[in-house]
Amino acid sequence: MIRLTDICKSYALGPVTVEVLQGVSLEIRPGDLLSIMGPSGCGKSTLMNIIGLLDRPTSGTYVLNDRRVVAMHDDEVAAVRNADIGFVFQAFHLLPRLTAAQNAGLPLVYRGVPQPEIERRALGALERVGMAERAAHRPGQLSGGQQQRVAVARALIGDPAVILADEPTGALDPDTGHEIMEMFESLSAEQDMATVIVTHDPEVAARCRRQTRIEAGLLHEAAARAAA
Amino acid sequence: MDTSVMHWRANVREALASLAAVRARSFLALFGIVVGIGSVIAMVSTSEIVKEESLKQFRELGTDVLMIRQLHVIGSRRAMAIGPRDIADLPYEVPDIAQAAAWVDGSGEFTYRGQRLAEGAAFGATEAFADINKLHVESGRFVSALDRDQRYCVVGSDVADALRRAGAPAVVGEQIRFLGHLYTIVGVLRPSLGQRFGQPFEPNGSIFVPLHTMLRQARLAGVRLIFARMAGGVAPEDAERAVTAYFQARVPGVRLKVTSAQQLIERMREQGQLFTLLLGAVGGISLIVGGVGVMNLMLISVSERRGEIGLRRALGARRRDIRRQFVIESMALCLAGGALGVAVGIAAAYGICTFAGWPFFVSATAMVLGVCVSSGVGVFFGIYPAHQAARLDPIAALRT
Repeated sequence: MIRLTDICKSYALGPVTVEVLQGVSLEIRPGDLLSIMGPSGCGKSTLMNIIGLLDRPTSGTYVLNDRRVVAMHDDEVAAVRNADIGFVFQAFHLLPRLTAAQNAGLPLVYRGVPQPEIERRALGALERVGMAERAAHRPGQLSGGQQQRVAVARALIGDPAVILADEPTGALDPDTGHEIMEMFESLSAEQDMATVIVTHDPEVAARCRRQTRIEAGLLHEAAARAAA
Repeated sequence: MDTSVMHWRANVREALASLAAVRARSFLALFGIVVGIGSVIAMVSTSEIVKEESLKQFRELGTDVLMIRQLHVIGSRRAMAIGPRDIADLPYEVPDIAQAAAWVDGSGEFTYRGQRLAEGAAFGATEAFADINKLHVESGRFVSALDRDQRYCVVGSDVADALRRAGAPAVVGEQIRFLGHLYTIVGVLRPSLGQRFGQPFEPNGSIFVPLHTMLRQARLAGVRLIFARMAGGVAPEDAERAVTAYFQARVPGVRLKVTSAQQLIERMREQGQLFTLLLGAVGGISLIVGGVGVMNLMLISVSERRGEIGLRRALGARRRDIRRQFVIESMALCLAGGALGVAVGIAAAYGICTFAGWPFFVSATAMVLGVCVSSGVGVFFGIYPAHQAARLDPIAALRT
């Protein structure tokens, strides 16, 4: 479903060209729970941005649901992002003046879904992350863990092919982080959806069924561990 | 299609919510727009009211009237005078003209049996004068050409009232003194409205005497001002030419200036346009200042909401969705300012009209103009900030 082949990414930093990714290949299948680790500046976020269609690789091919997305026009990319990618960020990125339900429903606004249906589906998504009772609360009235749950609901709502979580537990205390990880585990188990988690935290990585590391611009996958 | 309607509605909702969130700052930025739209509305409605007022007199008199004025020539001889005969013959000799009447007036005091009645004017009149000026007799008769040099007069309604108060209930048949001469009243006019063709004219407070009598009394050699009504369907230019030719044949060497009501209206309209242009410039400048204020507010808003913009892009918003969101926000901002401005402008126009004693009405043009101009300003000054927002790189925007 997601196949990255020989992805290279380089940045021109003044006269120097920095080669961040030097031929990364990765296949992500429905139901995968995959972690990406690596030292700071190794290109984790760059890879994440490429998978999330926020950035384009310098070379290589990226096939998402049998479509080659590298050559797509900006508007098409936006539509694919809306349909197939769900983002979860370290800093939650909820809009402070919207309620939890409105935040969760935001991706559907850009899909042209009628307002009553957005509200209905937002409630459904909040229910799946255990936040249905807080639907009318604004982010300021929620704890960090609750905010991250709302953000996960927002990522889920459009039935994406993959959820990309960038340090989803980075801003949370260990217990709350633990809860969020449990949620990812159960979601990826019950759903035909892949989850990719970028993290510094070995404990978080350890909970993922597939574990990868980026080193020197290349991606290495640890031997598949037996299902826990 | 349906999708884009949804987008619009969502955008408008979002725009209003985010404006409400920065209420105080929005209001300050709007001040310029409020002042700009307000002054435009005030000036446009006032000028419309003034135009309406001045056109009213033409509507009463009719637009088929010509004003013929003899230009003063230094050293002009008596032979160049236009006499009553020349005016009386004009409609018969010139088919373009239906009626013509001299305008000869003098002012002084009216007295009745030694009691002072009022200050007023006397006009040299003929039947045509009554017709052109829409004067109607209430009792008795109007003066006629047959009265020649007789000291007869017709009095306006205010003069008649003054006479009744002074103890002359019948009015007709009484004698009134004006500039040392006694005139026998032969008729009383119905009350009538004022001002005619730019000439101060108070028929109710005036008396009307036979033209011959008036000319003799005032020791005038001839008539200097004539009003004529054109025959139906005649172009003012043709009538003008015919009238000039007629008088030049009758009174060799005479120089005339003929002005049609249409020309006067045209001139007024031109002046009105100049006025409007000036107002437009003043309003335009304040709108530009206001617009720059809005642009500034929007630029601040864009830089404060970089994270939101990045997030929306990550969730699938296209560049044009972001652009539209900010343009709508700016438009909503300006429309709010415009609505306030329209209210302020109408209130100001009401104040001006009350002060000047004009009848006040709310000009629909002004309101439509206010709404259109303010949303136009919103779009124009919103495009640049919206473009900046749409251009942001989502990765960089999310990092902030």
